[in-house]
Amino acid sequence: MRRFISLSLLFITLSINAQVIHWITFIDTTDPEVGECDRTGRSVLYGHFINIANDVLEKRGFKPHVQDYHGSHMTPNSCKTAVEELQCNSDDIVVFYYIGHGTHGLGDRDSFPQMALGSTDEKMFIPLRWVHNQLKAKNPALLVTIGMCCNSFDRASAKEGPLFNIDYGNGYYTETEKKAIQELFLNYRGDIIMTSARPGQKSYACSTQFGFMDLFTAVLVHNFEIGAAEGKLDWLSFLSNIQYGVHEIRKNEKNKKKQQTPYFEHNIISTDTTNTSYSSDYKLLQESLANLLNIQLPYENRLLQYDNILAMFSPNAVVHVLDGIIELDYEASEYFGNLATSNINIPQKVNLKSIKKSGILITELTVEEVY
Amino acid sequence: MKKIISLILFTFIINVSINGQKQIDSTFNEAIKKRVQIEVGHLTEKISQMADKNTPINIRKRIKTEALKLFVEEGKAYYDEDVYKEGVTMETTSLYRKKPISRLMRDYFDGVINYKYSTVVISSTKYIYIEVSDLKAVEKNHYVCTACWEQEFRGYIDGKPVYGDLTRKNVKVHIYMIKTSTGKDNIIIKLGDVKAVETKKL
Repeated sequence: MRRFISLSLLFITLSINAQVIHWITFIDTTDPEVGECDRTGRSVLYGHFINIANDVLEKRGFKPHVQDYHGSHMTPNSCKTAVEELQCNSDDIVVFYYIGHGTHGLGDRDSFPQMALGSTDEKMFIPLRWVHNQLKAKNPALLVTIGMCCNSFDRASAKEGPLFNIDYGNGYYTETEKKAIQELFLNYRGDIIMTSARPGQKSYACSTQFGFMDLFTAVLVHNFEIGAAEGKLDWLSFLSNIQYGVHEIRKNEKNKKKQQTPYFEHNIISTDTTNTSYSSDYKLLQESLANLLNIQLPYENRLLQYDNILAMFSPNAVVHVLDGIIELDYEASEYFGNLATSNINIPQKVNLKSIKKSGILITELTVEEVY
Repeated sequence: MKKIISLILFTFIINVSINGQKQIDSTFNEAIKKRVQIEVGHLTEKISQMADKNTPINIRKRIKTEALKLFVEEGKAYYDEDVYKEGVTMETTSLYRKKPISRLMRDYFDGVINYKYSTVVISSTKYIYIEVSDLKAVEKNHYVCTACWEQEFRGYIDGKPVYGDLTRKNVKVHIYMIKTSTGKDNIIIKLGDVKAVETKKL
């Protein structure tokens, strides 16, 4: 009897402490306009991202919990219910992913869209930010909220807040890929929210290596696979590459309203205390700075580089400029913003001297300018 | 003799009390003046960019945001030697007006972006030729100097030149010294009010 009670207690303890990766996906697979390409998007998202991540993380003790809403199950009510009723622990990972129609509320100052979730009644649209805040309040270790939809201004008013198939299988991947994917999900804490298009922009579909589907998810999956194959996956680079990739493909549209540039915000820190090398930061920053200083590039491209660079810095980060016997201080946003918008009075090169970080964000950068 | 020594000592003490801060040697002074040239050069370039109607208006507005960061409190309200000011100002002149007009910098920049001419070309002294005065202490860890340059303004309507002037301008530059934890003095340079000294017809 005692042995039975002890075993039961052990089982309960293990069950309570099991870590879970929760996936909540809402994908509009029946809409007459986007249904077909979203069916491809769903297949690619699961086959090339979700299933792979689940399989890799299962080996590190993570149990997958997938809520896959599509077809007639994808409604504003089911989204609200799924988000509000999700139960998770502080060691869990939560990823929310939406593919479908969306819009930006008139007068809404938030950068993120409202999701239509199959409804044509704008009163039923749910803001992506609301989903993110609801899930964040449940305090998971890592939260990623992604909305793949249009973010163009429409008739929708500004808002603050609105089947289940488990489908996972085994994918083939190398040890390098496995390690990179595990590090991506396990070496970070905090939250990320991302939209496939900026306010005023739409999200587009096109022919991709996976078939005709939304461009954003195709670029996301492509960068996920490349990063895993190279053994280098960190959230900042991953999201920046997605942003850059989508923008580059759409940047040549003559009608600027048809361009598409994803946008993200993050509050994440690295929990990897063994990695003290800053060489990847130097490399990424030096490459981004070279583009920032390239006056042959249009302003839009240089300002995009500015966004990418600033995402590496904490909000009050300082840039120290060594100029002979004096050292000048600038706020990072001021320093890089000035470089991004200068053509004549601009250094030929900015040499990086030292970096100080707090977590994954740079708090101080020391540079030397070459005029 | 005792009187002379007392006088010398008294003068020394008074001098130290009034200045009470880092003595700027000439090398340091020259190094800061060179940096002031670069900062003022950023301002003059950004004014030219904001006036250039070939650049999309959303980019010109973004340049305005970056230009305001060159100024004390980004152009918003501040205290200039204990005097409250609503914001940094720009004096503008015209061949058709006797007196210069002073406007808040952010309003001036809006005007530059929205000039009624079909084309506006503004060019200024190259930054290495901008004249900068020596630094003057105003309070603890706060110095000022003046930088001067010339600005050429040409306005066109449908390709025809309709207005052109050359204005000599100067800007009050604020230099702040921040003591770091290692005891070093780091420097922050911010621009203040801009005055129009003289305007001539081109």
